[in-house]
Amino acid sequence: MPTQNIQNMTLCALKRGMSEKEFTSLEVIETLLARISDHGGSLNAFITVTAEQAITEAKNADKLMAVGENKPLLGLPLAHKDLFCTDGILTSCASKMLHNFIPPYDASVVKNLKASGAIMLGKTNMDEFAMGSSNETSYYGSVKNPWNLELSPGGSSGGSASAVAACLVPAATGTDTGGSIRQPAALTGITGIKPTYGRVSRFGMIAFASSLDQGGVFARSVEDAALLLGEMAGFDENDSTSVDVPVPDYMSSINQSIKGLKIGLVRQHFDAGLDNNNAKAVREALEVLEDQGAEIIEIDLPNIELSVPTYYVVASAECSSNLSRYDGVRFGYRAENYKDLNEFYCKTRGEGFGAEVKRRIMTGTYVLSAGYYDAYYLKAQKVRQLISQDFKQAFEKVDLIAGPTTPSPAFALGAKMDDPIEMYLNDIYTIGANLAGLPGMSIPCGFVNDLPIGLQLVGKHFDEESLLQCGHRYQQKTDWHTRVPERFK
Amino acid sequence: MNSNWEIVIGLEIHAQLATSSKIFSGASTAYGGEPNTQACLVDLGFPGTLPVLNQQAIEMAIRFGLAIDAEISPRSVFARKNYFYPDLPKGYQISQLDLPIVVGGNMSILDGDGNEKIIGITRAHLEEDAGKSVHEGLDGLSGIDLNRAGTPLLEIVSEPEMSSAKEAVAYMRKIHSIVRYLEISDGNMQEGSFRCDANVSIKRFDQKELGTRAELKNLNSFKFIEKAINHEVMRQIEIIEDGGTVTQETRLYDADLDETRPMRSKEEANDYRYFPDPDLQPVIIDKDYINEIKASLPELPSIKKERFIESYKLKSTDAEVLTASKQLADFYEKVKQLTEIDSQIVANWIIGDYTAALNKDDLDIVDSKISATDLAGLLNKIADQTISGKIAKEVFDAMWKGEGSAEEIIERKGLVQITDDSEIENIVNQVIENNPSQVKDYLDGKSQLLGYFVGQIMKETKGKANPQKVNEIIKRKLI
Amino acid sequence: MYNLPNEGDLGQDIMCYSILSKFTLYSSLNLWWRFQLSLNKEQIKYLAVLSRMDIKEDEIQDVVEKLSSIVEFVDQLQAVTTDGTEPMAHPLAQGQRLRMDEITEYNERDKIQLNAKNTNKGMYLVPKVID
Repeated sequence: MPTQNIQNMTLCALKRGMSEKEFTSLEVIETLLARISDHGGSLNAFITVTAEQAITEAKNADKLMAVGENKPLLGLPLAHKDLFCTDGILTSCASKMLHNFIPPYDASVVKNLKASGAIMLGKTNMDEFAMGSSNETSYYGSVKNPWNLELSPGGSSGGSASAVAACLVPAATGTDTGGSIRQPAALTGITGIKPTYGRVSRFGMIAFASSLDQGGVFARSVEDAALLLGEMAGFDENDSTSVDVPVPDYMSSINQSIKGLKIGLVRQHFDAGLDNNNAKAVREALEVLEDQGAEIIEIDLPNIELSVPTYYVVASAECSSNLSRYDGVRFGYRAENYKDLNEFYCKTRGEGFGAEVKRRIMTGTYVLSAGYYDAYYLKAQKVRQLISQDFKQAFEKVDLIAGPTTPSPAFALGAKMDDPIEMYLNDIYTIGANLAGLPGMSIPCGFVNDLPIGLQLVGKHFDEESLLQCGHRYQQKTDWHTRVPERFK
Repeated sequence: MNSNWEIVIGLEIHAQLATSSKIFSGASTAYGGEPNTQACLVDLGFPGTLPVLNQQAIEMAIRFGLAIDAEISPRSVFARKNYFYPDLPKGYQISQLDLPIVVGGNMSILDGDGNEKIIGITRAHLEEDAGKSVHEGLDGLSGIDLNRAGTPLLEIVSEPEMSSAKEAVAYMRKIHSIVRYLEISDGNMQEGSFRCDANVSIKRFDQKELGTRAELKNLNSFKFIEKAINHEVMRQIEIIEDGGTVTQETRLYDADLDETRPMRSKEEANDYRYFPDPDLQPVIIDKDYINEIKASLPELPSIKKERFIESYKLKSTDAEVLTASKQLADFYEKVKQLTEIDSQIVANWIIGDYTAALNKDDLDIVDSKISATDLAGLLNKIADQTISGKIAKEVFDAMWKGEGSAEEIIERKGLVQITDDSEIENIVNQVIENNPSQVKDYLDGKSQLLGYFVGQIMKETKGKANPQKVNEIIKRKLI
Repeated sequence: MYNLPNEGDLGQDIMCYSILSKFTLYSSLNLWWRFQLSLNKEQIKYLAVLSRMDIKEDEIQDVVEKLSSIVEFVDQLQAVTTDGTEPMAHPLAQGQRLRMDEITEYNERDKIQLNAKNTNKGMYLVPKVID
């Protein structure tokens, strides 16, 4: 019976199934809404479920399909990270500060996917204002990893990752500022892609760190990721950092051979910090690629170890300013008792923001403050240049850079909450790509202690195609990406 | 007391640029709308919104830079100025710090003695305006209207090179005239599209370093600026002479009390934590674009003034007045084109009667009751001797009241000048006959009585006799 | 290169996933490592004022410690030679796009103010601002 397999189907499979009339969009949507209802609580992956709207849209989609309409994502379900503004629907950024914020407009990403026919099932949980690597800072409570409910799914897009990995939804959007798509994808055993900076519009994507944020995709296959990315991406005149380059037809180029593709292995990545089993799985993954004709070359990114401190200076500086608009005056949380304007601000912001967000705002304020700007912010931007130059030089020798996505598999909830630095080090392999604005993707490549781990691929600016081709080839020869956690089968 | 002290003044002028839409969004910049009806999501700093730069703001800034002989930065950067205030929705103002669009430049003014003085301009940069707050009628709360938030401002910073309140006003008037000439701002001070802050300090003549300065805000008329600066100078002199020191602070000018007082909210030191705005890219301006704009610049006041002196043979002071505003200069030239009367006479009429009429009714040239054609018509009637200059004033007043054209009024009121020699002679003879003792006195040497005779003849003719002819004939007859 | 010891240095035996052992290990190492904090209470209070956020008295010490460790962590950037390197403000080297000066947004005040709790006559209300 199709209904039993619907939850495990990829977008591409669902698309085929609907066009071959094996099932309708309504059946798909209803199946998944039921699953969300059954399992959503245990994972805490959703903040808002838009059941009624989704059902109405599914019925409409079926009507359109019946008359031959064939938009690329017609009738296909997905979820949006609760950081993308959705017109008329709560967009909270998992923060008390926005727990009552109903945007009067759609983010460009939401608009694009809607225009392609996709149906939103709900808004997913995340780390507050995208600040975190474990989805433990949410105002709505932590998200659980479907592979082991006592473990973190990673963050900040933990809800999207968890929902996709548990087959509650075949795909979801996420955002990645320092690894917030790739890291949770790795820790939950799914595919996650962060495109080149400027590829996907940031208009309506609530800002954390403007020069690092990018919107991207979670899916259960590289093919699905290619499908969604193609519909999400594109120049947007409302975003000054959006780049006016044409979006290739990812679906048609995805099957190209990777023979002769040069893949770089970063010497600095395989140091003592990396879990041995993790390293082993990554090397085995690379062998699969070599079998396909790719060439593995060792490269150097000499300044890569500086990427975490650099990132934290830049990201906190930008976020300290981006979050100044949250003052209770025009929208959002507003303190109840205050005696004057100053108290109004301090209470609203003191009560509305969680601890990690406040820490980052203060760190950002510190590194931008008089007397410290040169030593911290300016310095970090210079080191950022060095790191970017390293990548540029490396890309003269190779087409892609491969390596582990995370230092180890999923960690326990609560394990790293006491030490911010320890938490930050989770992003050690992913941050470089954000600093340099490069596209990055994580695909499942094995298990360590029964927990999934990911292989990361980083490409040249605007060369998502090579990432997708490489990932797709890998997934044709392996089945890591088809594994589903026991309790969610 | 004053001769011991040197005054140092620098002005920061904020000119609102006359774009149709905001600098970073597509909302309207029109004045006077209902609160928050012209504040879109970008202006309100809603989550997820982003700025996109208005081309016209860049062009206007470049126009200004070219007009003051400044350098246009080929690469300029927008920076965030971070602080909290209810009329600042994002909690930061997008402005420019290290790489402003216009660098350097200068403006010439006439100093206290009427000599030309060059005032240096440090820089001019683009930034967004904040909203407005209303403090009355809201039960002890303040109301925020963000219509104005996001309107483009050009902040023009002078070098501290003005040495008196009068020089400061002269500089401000010059800048005011330039921005209106260039049509980049309407310069409306009442509506807040042209605002000025003054940095004032004093030092002893022999002192090398500059004194501590106070920043004066809320100066929204030329009159207030002069008063505020003078008041502040006196205040600072008093402090120092009493043995105290001037504190660096921001002070608001209170027009009703004619005094300055410290501004409360600025008392706390503000660390603005400027950094380049990551939502905007550097603005790249190439030479071709600058040249394009240069070619389309209107004739600037200083050039126009020289031309007026040269072509129309006008006095420098007259040329200065006529070219102070583009509209007045255009009006002059239009009238001049339509009449052959001497250009100095045209100048006198415009600077005199015409301007006086506008001022009396508190009108701008655009609302003038007499058009250039009308005025030229009147002046032509003087030129062809139909009426005298004196009668022309009467006609002008009637024209201003809307009684018709010069021709019609002269006709209707029977004001045509008497120029016929014999007719005048008859009247002269009559007057001579009727005033024998004055004639005797005149012939005895009281030559000033000529005026008396002319007056009598004018009375007889109801002012219509041609004055030159009258003078001539009397002189001829009374030898 | 980091101030905190790497996992690898301490051998494979540390690599277990129980919450307790990891927690104890790191907190004891941190206490030993950091006997002098790089930021003090006054600085934290100042940062809280600059960013207009109340920090409760009983939270301050925790914030002091955590922020100090963050600052120490990022301090390693000081040792990097960056003479002659341009700061990188954007990952892309492109100029700012200019838009035409047209009015494209119209009055949507009612819809927008659905999110504002306190308004009067169309204005947003705040405690009285005194100049």
